[in-house]
Amino acid sequence: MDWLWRFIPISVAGFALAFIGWMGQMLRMAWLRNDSWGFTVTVASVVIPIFLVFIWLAVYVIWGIAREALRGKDSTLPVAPAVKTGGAP
Amino acid sequence: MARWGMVIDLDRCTGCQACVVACKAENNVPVVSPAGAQAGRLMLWMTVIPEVEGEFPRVRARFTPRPCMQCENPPCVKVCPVQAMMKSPEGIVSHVFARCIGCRFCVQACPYGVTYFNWQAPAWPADLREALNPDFSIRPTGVVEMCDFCHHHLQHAREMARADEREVRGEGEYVPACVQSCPALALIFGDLDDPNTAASRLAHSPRAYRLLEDLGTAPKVYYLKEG
Amino acid sequence: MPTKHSQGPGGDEILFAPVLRTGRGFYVAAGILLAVAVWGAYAYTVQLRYGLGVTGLNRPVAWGFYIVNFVFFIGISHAGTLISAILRLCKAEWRRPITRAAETITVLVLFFGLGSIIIDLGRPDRLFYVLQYGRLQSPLLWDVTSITTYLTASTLYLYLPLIPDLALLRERASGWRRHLYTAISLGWRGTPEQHRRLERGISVMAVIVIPIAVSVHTVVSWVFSMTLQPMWKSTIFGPYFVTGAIFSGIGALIISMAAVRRAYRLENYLKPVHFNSLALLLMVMSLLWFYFTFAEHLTAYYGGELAEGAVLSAKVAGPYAPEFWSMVMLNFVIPMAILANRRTRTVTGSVVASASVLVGMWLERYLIVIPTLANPRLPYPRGFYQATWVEWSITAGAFALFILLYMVFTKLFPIISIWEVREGREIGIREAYERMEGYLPSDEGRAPVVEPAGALR
Repeated sequence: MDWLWRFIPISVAGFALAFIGWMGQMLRMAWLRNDSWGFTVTVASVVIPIFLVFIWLAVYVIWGIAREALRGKDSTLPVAPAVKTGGAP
Repeated sequence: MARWGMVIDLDRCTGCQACVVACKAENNVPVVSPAGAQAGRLMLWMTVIPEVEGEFPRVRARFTPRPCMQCENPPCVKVCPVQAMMKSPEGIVSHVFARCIGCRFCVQACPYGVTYFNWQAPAWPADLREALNPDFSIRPTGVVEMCDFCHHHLQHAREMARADEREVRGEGEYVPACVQSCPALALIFGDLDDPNTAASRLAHSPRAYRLLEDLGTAPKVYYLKEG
Repeated sequence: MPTKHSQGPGGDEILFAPVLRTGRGFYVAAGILLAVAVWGAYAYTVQLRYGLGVTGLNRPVAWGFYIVNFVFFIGISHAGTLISAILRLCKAEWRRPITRAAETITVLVLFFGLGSIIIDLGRPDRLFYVLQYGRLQSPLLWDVTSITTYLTASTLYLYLPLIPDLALLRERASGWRRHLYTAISLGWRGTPEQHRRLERGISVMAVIVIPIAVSVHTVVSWVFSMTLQPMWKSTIFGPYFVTGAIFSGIGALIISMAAVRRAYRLENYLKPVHFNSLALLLMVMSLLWFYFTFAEHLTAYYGGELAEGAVLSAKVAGPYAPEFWSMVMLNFVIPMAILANRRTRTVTGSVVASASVLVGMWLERYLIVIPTLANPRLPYPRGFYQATWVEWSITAGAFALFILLYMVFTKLFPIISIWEVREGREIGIREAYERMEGYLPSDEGRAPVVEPAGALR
């Protein structure tokens, strides 16, 4: 089932890219139709950075976690405890 | 470029509603049953608002024909999510039925309440179906419609004028159905930017006012108050 | 059976129990909810066939139940943000057993908000015109943008903390479930590197999701306040709606927590102190809601502007007076009466207050939409609105389906974040102690403060 470990980050990043693409389409339409350009630029400049953060999340966090697992998949290490225990309480 | 507007002389309006009927016939506005009318589903692009004060015999009545105000700053155009409401360069606010998704935001945004929604697929009784105007579309269910100053008349007039290699004249060539049918000549229509038209002269009359003027919608329908 | 004082990996099995075993009660409840949902779906097919004429909508009240439901559902979605993100940033330890329930509500309810809008459209077959031909001057497009962003953010914010629990689940599950959990747990092995990345991701999302959530209900409010209608054209709508959203969100959260606690016997994890903290928040939001409502109505009353005055008197003394005063009772009087007194601020008390708040907030959305539309500026048309069986059925179906999907979620994933609770035991206590020590003045001559034992009492 580890194809899903690649599929999940790819689909998250893909969705974010699709949304950014849609914003680009909105910008293009607003420019060509000369209709609500100010609003479109404002909304796009707020929303596109947010979706760039989602792409970062998909790559750094989700893919990063999956890659760790894929790298250690063939080793004989048992599953580590769920909570990171750093030293004695 | 022309800026089409209407002036309505309230001294002349008798409340006969010929304009209402003419508009319905011209634009294939759907007919609604009496039950539907009771339920608030009546569709009248042009309607006459009666205001009656006092008791008989000292009664005062005013009849205010109310088409779409065709605002210069139309709230309906601003809020439409899919550009189904649009204002042409000549100031005509109209609706694209093929684009409308039926969200009814324009119905709620218009302070004058001139937008109507097709709550079901429009149907006419047999004899009225034969009287449908072939020059204008029939709308499907679930879309909004409203008065557009009989824009198809302007398109026709423009074609005739183009054949003569000139512009459409400021008045007389392009006349909406309501203006055509008024027996009291209470509705005057023309180019508000052309100083020679009756409409532009009357729009500057001291009797002229517009509905809900303080809202900033800048309607192009002027009323001449009773003198 | 875990005892009252059990702790550690062996004692948390009760949190896995709902995922691994399902009793008859679940199937009965699910069956009833499914029946209601199917009836609601049938009502929608009637509407699709005959048009929106089967509803009570008319001119001038062209927006009714569906828009009220839309605003209500989107409002409930603020449950997740407040609890998960803000409390996490404030390092409030009591959030730990609550975060997943809150985040689940958010993710699910946003779909129902979107669904309500789609049901309201006259031409749902042309839905994608919004994407193809959208105009960002329209508040509806702001809604689409904002809600999509929030949905993406909350789904990620639900998924990330779920990963370690999925790893724990895949040990215990069998069959297709084991495959599912193995797949979506991203092969979590709890290595330091994975932990580092996960925590980085959660921290970033916690910060980013708060302004997104605020923007969501603000733009929903701007659908109304960007028009020129009396009592809609108000600058206070943004903050008013966000406050109301957090208010109703906390109410929904309390009820869902109490239900889960009773159904899955989680009294050891969802303790009265958790309900007490949420109840105090609910009380604060009730006061805040009352403040905004009072300000809105006093302003409309004092100026006496004709059109606004007509709407105001319709609400306060006219045909909508029963709904208005019920709303004040349900949103302010009853919750304050129950929650201001420590003796009545129990689990049951907070559930009763929350139920009252949810009904009251639905009425509040109703009173924002309908009276304004029924009293337009021009003398005609005058308005009235009576919802038909179609609207009632679709509303009931939406609520039933939401509750059903929530129940199904609790069967697939643990509704209490197990690893966060364990982190609280093993790290949270120590960190909180160290933090508190940092607040107090350092003093050499004093006797040292007794360190707490590392385990939970």
